[in-house]
Amino acid sequence: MRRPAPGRSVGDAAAPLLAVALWILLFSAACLLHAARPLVPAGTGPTGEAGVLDRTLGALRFLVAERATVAADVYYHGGVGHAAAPRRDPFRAWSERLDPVRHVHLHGAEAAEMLPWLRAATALDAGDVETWLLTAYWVERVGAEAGEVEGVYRRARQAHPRNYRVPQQQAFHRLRTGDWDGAETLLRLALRLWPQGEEDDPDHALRDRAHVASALGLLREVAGDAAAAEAGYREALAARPGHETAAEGLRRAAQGGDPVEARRVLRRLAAEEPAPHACDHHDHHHHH
Amino acid sequence: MRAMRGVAMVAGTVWVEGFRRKDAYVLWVLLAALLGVLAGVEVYGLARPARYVVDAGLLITWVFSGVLVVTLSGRQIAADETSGMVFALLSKPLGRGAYLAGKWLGAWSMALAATLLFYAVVAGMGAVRGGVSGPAVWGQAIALHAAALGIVGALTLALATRLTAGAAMTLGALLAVVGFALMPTLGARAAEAGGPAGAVLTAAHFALPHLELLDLRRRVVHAWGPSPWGPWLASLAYGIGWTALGLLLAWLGFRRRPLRQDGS
Repeated sequence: MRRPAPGRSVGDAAAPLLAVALWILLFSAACLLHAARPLVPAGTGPTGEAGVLDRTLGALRFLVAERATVAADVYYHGGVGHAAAPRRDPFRAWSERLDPVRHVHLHGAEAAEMLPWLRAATALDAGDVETWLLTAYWVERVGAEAGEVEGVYRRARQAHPRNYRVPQQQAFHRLRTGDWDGAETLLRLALRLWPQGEEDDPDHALRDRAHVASALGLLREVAGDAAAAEAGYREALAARPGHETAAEGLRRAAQGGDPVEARRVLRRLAAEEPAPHACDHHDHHHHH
Repeated sequence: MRAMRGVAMVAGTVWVEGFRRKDAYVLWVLLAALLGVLAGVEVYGLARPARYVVDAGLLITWVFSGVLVVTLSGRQIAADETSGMVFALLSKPLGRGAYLAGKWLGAWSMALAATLLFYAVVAGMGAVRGGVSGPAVWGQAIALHAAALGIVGALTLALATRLTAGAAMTLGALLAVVGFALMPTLGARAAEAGGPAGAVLTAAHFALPHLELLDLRRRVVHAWGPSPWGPWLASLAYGIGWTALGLLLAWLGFRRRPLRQDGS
């Protein structure tokens, strides 16, 4: 029996190599398109890069987007990802001595390292609002130019025109940049878009509504409009009885308001906005 | 000394053949092009992100170096038989063991040389982007990568002593993928499976090479600094041990095998 001719080296592996190369090129092209004008006008369908990726990757892009989001989380933790529960395995023990397992977070400008993955995730699947919010939060925190942050919010709102959480988070971004008029407009938009009984997490949505309404109350109090401020605080308390900021604001508004104190509280609220990232220390494969 | 010269001579024939085929150049250009495109992706106007470029570059480096070592080792014996080169080489005062050692050394060293060029591209890209780990961790990573190439090359060569070039390369690549991607989780899978399937998986867990023990990409990409020297030396010894075992298997498969010029 004749032995077949020897293999053709790289030629044998050409198909998978070309597939990898093409995927990277396509992905990169999509990311470049991301910065350009959308091929489809906002509100009429998927944005440009999503259309390109839809035609090329099909449903696979959602899977890749999910993995990109996970990769961003892993990068945030210095490359140490989630893992199954500990078990006795000599190879794993060896690997853990060789490789880092400590729990760390990226800080400051270093957090920019995870942004390429979030950028990929939003380009591949514009339908996940959580990823947009996470991206916008970190683009701002790593010190990108204001125009870049606004660009993320613009695209997020194109992809999610009916979701109150995008204008809500953007409003607090505007508060941090000192654009209080813009913030007020966005807070009002968030209240208009607030889901009437259709929310996935009613408790979270009520908390958000109270947060937005009390911020509106504070803005009105800063402007010297005690009556409008009181209305905002009452709306916050209706959504979340016992809301501390709203209760304090209501007491001040009853006495005619205190714009200086309202300004201080507003700045603190904007600065203390929590990161969308929620790390459960127990489900990570790393030591604290 | 004569055996050493013979091994070096056979290794030289692998290099000559490798240069002729230009595999490494093609992969090197492909790597540089891919990384160039990736590094050119605009990320919110920020210059900082570098780790994704290094991460992607190291992954591609592992894939390409694996392709090189598998193809170089897998085709040697069949090609020499078809061309009659094996008879010319073995007609010299050169044993079959030295012939195999030369073939492995040539394939491994050529794949390693190409890998070092890949690393140079990746480290250069990382440095341009402003984020790169220190030289110690790069050195550790490259040394363990070299050990991994040694294992894959030796096992593929062992397969090539009894199989056709295509089959040896396919199985060699499969072993590399399994050792790299599946072995880290095989213990957990075995525990979950239980019963006879669990026993088979447990046996595979201990019987197949764990290439993840030779992968320090996480330390390089995420700037963790060098690994502790104890586990690192243990991993290096593990790689050398598996390479020796692969070469032993290759010698056992080849020492009495009849050779025919038509390759049958």
